[in-house]
Amino acid sequence: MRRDLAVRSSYGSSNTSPVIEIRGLRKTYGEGEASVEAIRGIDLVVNEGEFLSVMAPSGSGKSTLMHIIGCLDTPTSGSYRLAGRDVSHLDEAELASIRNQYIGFVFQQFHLLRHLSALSNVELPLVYAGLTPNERRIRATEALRRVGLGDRMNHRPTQLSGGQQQRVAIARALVTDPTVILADEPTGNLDSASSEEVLGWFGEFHRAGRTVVLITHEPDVAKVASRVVRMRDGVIVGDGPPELIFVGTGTTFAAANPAVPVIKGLDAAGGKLEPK
Amino acid sequence: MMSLRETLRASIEAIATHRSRSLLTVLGILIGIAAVIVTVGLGEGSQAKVTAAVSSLGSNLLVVSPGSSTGTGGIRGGLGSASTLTIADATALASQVDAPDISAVAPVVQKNEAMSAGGNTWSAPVIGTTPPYLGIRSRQISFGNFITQADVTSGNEVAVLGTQVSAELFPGQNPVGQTVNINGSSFSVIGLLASAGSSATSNQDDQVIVPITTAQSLLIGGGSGTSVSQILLQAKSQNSISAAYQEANALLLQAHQITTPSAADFTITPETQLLSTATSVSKTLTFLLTGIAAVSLLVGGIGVMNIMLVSVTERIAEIGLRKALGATPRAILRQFLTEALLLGLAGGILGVILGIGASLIVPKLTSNPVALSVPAIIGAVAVAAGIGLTFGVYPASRASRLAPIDALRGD
Repeated sequence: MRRDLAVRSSYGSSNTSPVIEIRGLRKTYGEGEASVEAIRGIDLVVNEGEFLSVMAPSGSGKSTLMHIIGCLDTPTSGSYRLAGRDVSHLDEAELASIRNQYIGFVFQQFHLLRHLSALSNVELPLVYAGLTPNERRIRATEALRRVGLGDRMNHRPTQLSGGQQQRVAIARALVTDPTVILADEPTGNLDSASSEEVLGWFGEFHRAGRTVVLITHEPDVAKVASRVVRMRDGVIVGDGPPELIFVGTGTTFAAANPAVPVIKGLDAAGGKLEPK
Repeated sequence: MMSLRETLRASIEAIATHRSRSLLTVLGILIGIAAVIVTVGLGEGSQAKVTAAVSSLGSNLLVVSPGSSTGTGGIRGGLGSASTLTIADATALASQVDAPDISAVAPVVQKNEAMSAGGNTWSAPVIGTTPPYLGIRSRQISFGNFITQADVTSGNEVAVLGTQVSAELFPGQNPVGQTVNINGSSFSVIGLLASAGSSATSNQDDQVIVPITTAQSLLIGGGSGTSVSQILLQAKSQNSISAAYQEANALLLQAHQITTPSAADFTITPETQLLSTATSVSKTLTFLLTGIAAVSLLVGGIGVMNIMLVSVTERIAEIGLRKALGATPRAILRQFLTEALLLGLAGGILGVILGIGASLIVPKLTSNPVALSVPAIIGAVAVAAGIGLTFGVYPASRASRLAPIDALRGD
């Protein structure tokens, strides 16, 4: 398998400006009595080149956070700067353009279009970026080769295994050369071998200098990142390298219930613990 | 921004992916367009048929009827109700000096009579007229001779039969030389008319022609011995119909000693007017049928909207994904509108093919001719595309307004 991802020049520098800068973020659904506050004030800074996983049980607001980080939704209050630009109050069309340029999505359900070949699926974001068919073909072919699917380019999703489908989705996330790769439970529909492989790819992207945000409820998945943010009931309850967040040897998870792991170094305010 | 070509490609892919559903979607439009093509074709075909039938009644024909009409509109005193036209009027109209634009004149009396020959009986209109009738009515003799001026002068008891009368009275025989009994008098058959078929108004093969004098003395009783029911006039040419009309009008007013034209006791009807009447009838029919076809197109359009709404619901995940990858609401709107337009267009083209096919088959099953009209075909395709587009607006705008997170959650 080839893992020859080129390091982008800008990522190779020592510049660690924040890619994601979230301040006082709140998100409320519904109105009045029936309103539900999914996110109750989050501050989060992700620097360029970081590999961050957001670990939280379902119903803790992690999907909402993922939607806001991915510019699929806007916050009720608070600010969100993506690559230095305030994206908290943009309209639908502007958000679409931001997603296209800055975010590479990897979903649990793969979300490949069944009637299109692997190559056409990978080309899709480039279509909306306005590239010519020729440019698209070259870049999509290259992206599929990077994830080792150079010989499967004309296969339809139904002709590919789950792991292969997720690799197509990863190639699609990579093809626009996004600022952030945002993966939402990317291993949720995969067997353990495929999961390991997919997580390996994210590690590879990280080593190549990319910013990766991985959202999961599984500690085993979360700990492949270099920084883990734990969320619970709409707030961040832990933030640090995996060895600080999880007790034990670092290969197995200590607590039986992943929702209540033993957390070291969590400050009283429930805030974050910046890795020093 | 997504280019038009990409939009088109994505739409074609989506339509091709759901081939059978796409076909069902366009079925309504397809049938509607085919119906439009056939009904317009039927209308134009029957119009052509009426035109041909009317001109078969005689070329450059003017019909003088007794009774008055109040010019443009209503009929006063009833057309044909009075017996004010006479053979003398016909003679006057035949004058080449006073009416140079009238080339032929044939007075006509007509009455339905019972007739028999051998053991066969039949009932048919008996027409008493003069020799020019044959030319004015554009008829042909297939056997024997037509009545002559001598027959008219002497009031000979001779008859010329239409093919249907001949077939009824003399089945399988040549009637010429035989005898037919009409209203108690014996007539010898001197000729057989060639078949002229049915016109819009009468069956031209179901008639018997006798000299006008004979008809007046033997068949038409009462005091109307010299009155005629119609005088047929033939103008010299298509261009002299108007002049012939003026001349006939002036001559008859003078002969009847009428000074105010509006008080005329006769009516002159040019053939063109008959034609326009018949044409307007067939136009009304076409209009009606086209209206029905238009309703079916409307229903077809609603079908497109309905199935496109289902399609939007079914493709929520796809829409969400496209949006997540950078499709603007506008790009989604364009994609679905293009799909609707293409569906309409496809329905239109398939409908035209079906319509042309039906237009070729219908005349074989019924006797109605179907004329294919190129403007109708082009118009139908354009209308189909327009319907697709119009009824695609609502589903497309719904698709474009879907929030990407709701759409992505769709599975």
